[in-house]
Amino acid sequence: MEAPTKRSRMRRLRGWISSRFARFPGAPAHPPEVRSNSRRSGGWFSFRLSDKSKGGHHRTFRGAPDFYRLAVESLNEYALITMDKTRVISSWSGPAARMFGYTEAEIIGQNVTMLFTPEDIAKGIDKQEFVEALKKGRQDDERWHVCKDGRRLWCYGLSFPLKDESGDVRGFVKLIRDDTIRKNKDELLRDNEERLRLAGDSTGLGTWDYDVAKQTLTLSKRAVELFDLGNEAKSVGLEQFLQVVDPEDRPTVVEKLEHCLAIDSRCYEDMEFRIPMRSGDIRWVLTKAAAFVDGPGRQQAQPDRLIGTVIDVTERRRKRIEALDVKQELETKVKDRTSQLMDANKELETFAYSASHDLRAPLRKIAAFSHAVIKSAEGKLNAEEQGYLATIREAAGKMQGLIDDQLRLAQVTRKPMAIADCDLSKIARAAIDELQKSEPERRVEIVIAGDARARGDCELLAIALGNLFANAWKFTGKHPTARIEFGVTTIGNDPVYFVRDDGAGFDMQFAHKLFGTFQRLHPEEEFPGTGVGLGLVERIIHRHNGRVWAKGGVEKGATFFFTLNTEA
Amino acid sequence: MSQNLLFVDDDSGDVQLTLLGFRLQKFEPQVVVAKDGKEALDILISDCEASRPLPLAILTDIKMPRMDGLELLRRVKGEPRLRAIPIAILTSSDHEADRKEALGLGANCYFMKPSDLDAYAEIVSRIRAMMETGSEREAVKDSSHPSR
Repeated sequence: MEAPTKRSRMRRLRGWISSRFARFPGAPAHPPEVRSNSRRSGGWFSFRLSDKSKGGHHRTFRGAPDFYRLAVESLNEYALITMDKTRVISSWSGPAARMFGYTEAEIIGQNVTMLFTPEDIAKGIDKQEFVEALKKGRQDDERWHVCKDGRRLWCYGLSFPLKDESGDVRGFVKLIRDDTIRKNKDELLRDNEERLRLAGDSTGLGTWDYDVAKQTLTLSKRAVELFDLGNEAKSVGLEQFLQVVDPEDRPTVVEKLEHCLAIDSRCYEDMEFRIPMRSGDIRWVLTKAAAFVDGPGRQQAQPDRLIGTVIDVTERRRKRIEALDVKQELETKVKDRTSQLMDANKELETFAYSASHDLRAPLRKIAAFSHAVIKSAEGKLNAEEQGYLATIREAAGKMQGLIDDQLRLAQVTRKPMAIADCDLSKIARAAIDELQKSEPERRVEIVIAGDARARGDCELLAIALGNLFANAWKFTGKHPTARIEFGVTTIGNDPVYFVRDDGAGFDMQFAHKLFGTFQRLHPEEEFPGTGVGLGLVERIIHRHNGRVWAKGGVEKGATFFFTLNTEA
Repeated sequence: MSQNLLFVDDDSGDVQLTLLGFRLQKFEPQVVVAKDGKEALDILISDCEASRPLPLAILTDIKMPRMDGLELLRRVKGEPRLRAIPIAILTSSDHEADRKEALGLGANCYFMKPSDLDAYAEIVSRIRAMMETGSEREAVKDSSHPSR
């Protein structure tokens, strides 16, 4: 127990401090003893600012007491407290007042114990701290302290004894930094880590962390399991890790890791590879890795860490492959069927062609022999008998016409496309000239657009246009005068060609029947024909990937439109 | 009878019709009928070897068993002793490729078999002309070899 005079003198030491905070908190473990008259000692300095008991004036070291006081007061994050040997507070810096809420008047003369939590007090930590400081020269610790309003602050503290010139302990200095925010952050981080671990556990996700410098992977329990590293391994060398990867996949894994670790790579790599397990099974894992660069110059530096996740994708992969197999099987089936269908179609076409062809000879003979009978029996047959023979000839002739049309249809379908630039205006002109020559007496106004051109098979397009004009020519035949027009308009940016007439037209409700082969919308007696012409047109336009349609009305004429999307 | 025509067709109906067509046009040469190209070629070769007179013209179908009309045409034009005989094609094939090939191989004309007997008028007139050329050729040959 010290004498009261000495204690009161200590109290008056308020504002006089001997501090070592220049390197706080990373100070050497054993700082040199504080000497009140020593100026500097390897970056540490000691000072005594004032002693009012001696002449009521501050005795200043080197005459600069305010400088040190200012220094102490400006250390906003650090509270500086001095105590006498019994831990009674003798000085209380501004930051200490702000941190704990006590004014100087309230705290000076109080025991420092009031800043400790009841739990720590119960354990005697409030006293123990200073016993240790005395013993070791300093005492670092982290603990909760209590403010005036009851709030708790997580503080880092450094306590050390304050000695006079003769080496006698005169009290203690405690430097306190409020680390509550960092503590909260650490706890948040720990919470997040825990949450991540739980998430990983519940989803079967493993995590790992690769330290580039140490070439070591630190793995979560789940990651250890997934990589089949054995239960003990929590940390493995890169080489050891690569050993568990299937040799076939290893080069890819190494390549991807190297890519991740390259300078400037801000990579995020996915790696799917096999782990041949000790059980003999093969496990497929999916690993995602992200590169991290610590420290300054983050943008340019080489990553010093990779962190990643790992998940078992064996089942997912199996299902994917199964799905792929099913898809492939379906595709193969569709392909096969399509090919079969195409073959059947081709066969059918060939059959239609050869059947048509083969039918021609007997039909020709029916017609020719009927003719022969008429010729050789001239004068011997009565009118009725001659009529029968004429009907046989006519019927055979008509059938021949149908067969010829069927052959023409087959021909436009089978003919290889010879794509070129076609002058449709010229083709149209030639087609209409033919028709005019066949019936020069007809009065038909012809309008042909000047420069209609298109890519296509010119021969086929000539057949199509020829049929459209023949159609227009035929269905205007009952009118004393007529007008037939060939022109180009557009839908969007695409050209649409058309042949328009002002003839008999058709009922729009039967428009869908127009292009049907051998379909007719008018009685044959009125407008002769087999009904194949528009079927031919449609086949030719379809072979040019185009579309053909018609608009019209009964006795209001008809317009046939078509587009061409020829692939060159 | 010097007006000798070799007619090659496997279809007896067509042979009959053609001969009727000829008759109606008052064209009745001595016609030798062969059922296909092979038979026709055999006749021609044996005529050559026996130094018998060759036909003044050949009228042949295209589609026939064993040897078709185009092959017959090729063989005839490839045989120096037969090369000069004019050949007409009478077929039901309207294939442009057939027509081109026949004319390319040296056929003198190409007809489609008609269903109208009146259409034989043109066929007959062309064959007549061909046979006249053939008989002129024979006459030249005969005069240059009076010993034969």
